[in-house]
Amino acid sequence: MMKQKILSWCKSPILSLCFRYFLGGIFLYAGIIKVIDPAGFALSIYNYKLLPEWMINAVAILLPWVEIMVGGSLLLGIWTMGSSLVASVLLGIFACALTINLARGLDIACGCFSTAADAGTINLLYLLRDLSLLGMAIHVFFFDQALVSVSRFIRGKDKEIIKKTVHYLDD
Amino acid sequence: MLKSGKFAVTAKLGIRQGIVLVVLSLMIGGSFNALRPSKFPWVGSWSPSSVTADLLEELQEISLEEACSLRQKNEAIFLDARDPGSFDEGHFPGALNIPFGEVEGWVESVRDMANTGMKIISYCDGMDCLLGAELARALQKKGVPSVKVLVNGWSRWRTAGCPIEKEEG
Repeated sequence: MMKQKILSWCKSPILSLCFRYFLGGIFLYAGIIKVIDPAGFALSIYNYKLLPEWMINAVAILLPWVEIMVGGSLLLGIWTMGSSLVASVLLGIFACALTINLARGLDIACGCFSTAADAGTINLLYLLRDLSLLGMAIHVFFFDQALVSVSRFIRGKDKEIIKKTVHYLDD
Repeated sequence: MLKSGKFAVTAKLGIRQGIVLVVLSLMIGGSFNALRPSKFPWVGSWSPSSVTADLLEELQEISLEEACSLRQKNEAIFLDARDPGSFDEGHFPGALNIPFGEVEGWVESVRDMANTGMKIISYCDGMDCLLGAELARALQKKGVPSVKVLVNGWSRWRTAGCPIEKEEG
């Protein structure tokens, strides 16, 4: 009985909604500060020593916008399945990048929520933080039912479309 | 949980939405960069030497000979920008270990030392190590009058046979 209760709480769309807002805010914030300072972000990417030279600037220009779009989509509740999937992929890539450089023992700035070079060296906590965000994104992908979302607001009466995306999430 | 078979539908929908989101972001990102007044170049030069040169642009480099002689006259304080592990294995005599994230806590004491007339010199290890230059820049930004950089300090210092110091234990 207790187990069931916990299980249903874990699957709760309300929990998913909290995760969605939290992740959305974080992605939006991370994206905006990087758009403001592409040069600083490019230096962070360079310091990871993972990308070829010609890709560094392009990633510094484009990645923040993917983060902003993902953040916006999660906050507004539009296409949350797509954005939580993209968020999961991004967080997975970041986790790999962090792991590789932790293993290499490089003393580099994370470049996660600050573009300053002296913002703090990466350590295991950064990886754990990334992985917990990844967990949230996966939760949103599976259990989000578009509560308090623009999608639901726009399509309020269009049961068919809601059904198409969320009906089979029910037990 | 998803019923089996439906997962494929959800995943497909998710992937489709995801692709559209990413493509849209790339388009917005590209246009934004084209329109912003300070365009950021799509391809930059990121070889270690050019990055070091860029970083050193506003900073003063110091030669090994000068650093070594300042050390002998006891007129310089060295700041080691490497991680504590490398620092413990060996460092310049009397050097302070100031890794990346810890600049803030050191600003005041370094400023005081600089004001007593000591030369402040930062270093790390390797030609493509930017930590020393970044440390110097960060300190200067926070009001330390002059911090010089000894490029590739640790390796050069050792091979030149200048004195070194190790942590006990």
